[in-house]
Amino acid sequence: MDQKDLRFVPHVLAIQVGTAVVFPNTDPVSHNVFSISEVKRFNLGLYGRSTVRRVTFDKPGVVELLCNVHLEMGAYIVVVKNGYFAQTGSDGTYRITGIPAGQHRLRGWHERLPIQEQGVAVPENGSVTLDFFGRN
Amino acid sequence: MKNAMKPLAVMLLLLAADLFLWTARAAAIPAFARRYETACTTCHVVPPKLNAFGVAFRNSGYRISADDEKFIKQPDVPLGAPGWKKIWPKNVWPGAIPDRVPLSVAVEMVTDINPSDPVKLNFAFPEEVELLAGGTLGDRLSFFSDLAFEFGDGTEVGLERGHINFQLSESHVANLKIGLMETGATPFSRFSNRLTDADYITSDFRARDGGFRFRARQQGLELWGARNGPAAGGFQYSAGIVNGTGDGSDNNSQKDVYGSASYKFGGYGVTGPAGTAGVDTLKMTDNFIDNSVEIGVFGYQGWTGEADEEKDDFNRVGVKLNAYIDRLNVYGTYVRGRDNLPSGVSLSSNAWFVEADVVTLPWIVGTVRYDQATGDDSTFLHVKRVIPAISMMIRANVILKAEGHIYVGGEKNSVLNGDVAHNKAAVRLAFLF
Repeated sequence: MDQKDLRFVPHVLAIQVGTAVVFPNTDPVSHNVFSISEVKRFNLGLYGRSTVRRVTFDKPGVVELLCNVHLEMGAYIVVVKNGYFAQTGSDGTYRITGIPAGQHRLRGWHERLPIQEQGVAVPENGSVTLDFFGRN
Repeated sequence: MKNAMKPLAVMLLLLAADLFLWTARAAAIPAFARRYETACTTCHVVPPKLNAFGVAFRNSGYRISADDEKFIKQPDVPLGAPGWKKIWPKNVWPGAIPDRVPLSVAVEMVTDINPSDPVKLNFAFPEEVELLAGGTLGDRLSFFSDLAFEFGDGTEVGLERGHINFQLSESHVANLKIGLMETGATPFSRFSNRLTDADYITSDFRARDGGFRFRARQQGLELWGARNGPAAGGFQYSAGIVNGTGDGSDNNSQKDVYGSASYKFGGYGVTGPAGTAGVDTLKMTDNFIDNSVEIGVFGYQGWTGEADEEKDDFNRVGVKLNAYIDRLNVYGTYVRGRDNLPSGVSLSSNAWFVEADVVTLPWIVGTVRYDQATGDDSTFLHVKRVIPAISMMIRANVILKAEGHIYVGGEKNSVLNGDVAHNKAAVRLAFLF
């Protein structure tokens, strides 16, 4: 997750438990990355341009990131248990492949909306469509 | 009879000959329409009269209950990432401001017909221009303001309302409003209920010359709240403390106090959909149907007079009823007043009205109201008045209205709001953007 133009890029990052995330600073100003989320509390301290720091996320859940210098900067790292996850594109679509056939539960997360969970029956062959967070 | 019919005939002729558009004192603000990219009819029967969804929107702090995020098309500008809320009080709580200045304009043009006046027909184009602003400041904060410019013999500028609201509880059961406001004790709002230019007599009457009346906005604080009932509808209340001198500085140390409470049986929830059901879509049609009955009580206790003088100690108490049956809305209120003057004289007063609004077509509402007021004071006007009116939305934001004031008893030449109470009519045009 980069720090660029006074923003975290990307704003939301989905990873599997155990993944290490690097936090490069490509801005010309110093940044600080920290989180007080129960899932992962950390503080990388203040560091300047071209410096890279790293954090491993070892528990599932949502980690909210802040910068102690720039109050408007915020981001989320969503740590999931297994490899069957996806992040929506700018058009709101997503795709998860290779799911074993059978009955599963799919959970949708949005930073400002309540979590939605739906059951889905995945066929042996083919695909199934499931919508979340219908917007008007 | 002939004289009484004359102004009505003139009014109808004007209506046929010249389609001017009209709107009541504005409280509909297109800024909300822009924010959600929806039509005025989402929240209004005919602006400014709110429908049940509009009442819930207002009670939710100018938000669409729990589903606001789904419908906003102009997201706020955050004043800090949301995560800082969890670190407070070790930092400033991050708020937000509207993406665009939430300003709306209402222009009102009037054709007055006064058969008893030397000037029997007068055009006021425009009569008034209002700058309306309202919205949210992040979660739990909202605001509303209304600046009016009136044109006649010179221009008058006045702040009609200006207040900020703090939502104190997770639900909408406790809020604190601070500023210049129409008090919650006012039985029916001139800004969100009234379809006629003439105010409800219960808001307009004074028990004595220069005395209190509900229509005066007051500066102060109001605790208010709303909560859905188990089968929707729900409870609303208010309790406030105000200067008691309208928009002027207070002239004594005693503050006026008031309270109100009402319960709506049936219909749309006072803060949104019943139970855990959310708002799926912003409905713009047939929102005027809300079969329900609301019953309420209210009271106001005040003191008027200079700080170093003896005060007029007065009170107003009353009941109100608001019933919706399909396309018909019948509502009214009864107010009883008591003014204890420094001279030892005690004056009583009574006022009531009943009004029926019928939605004939979604863009046409017919209205008929009966107003009555009586009182002890020798200067008190005794009013018995019938007001027929019709409101038409030529467009959602362009409204044509015509109404007549027919005095059927009491003192037809009494003074009401500085104007002689005589039969008259008006055709009004307004547009909002």
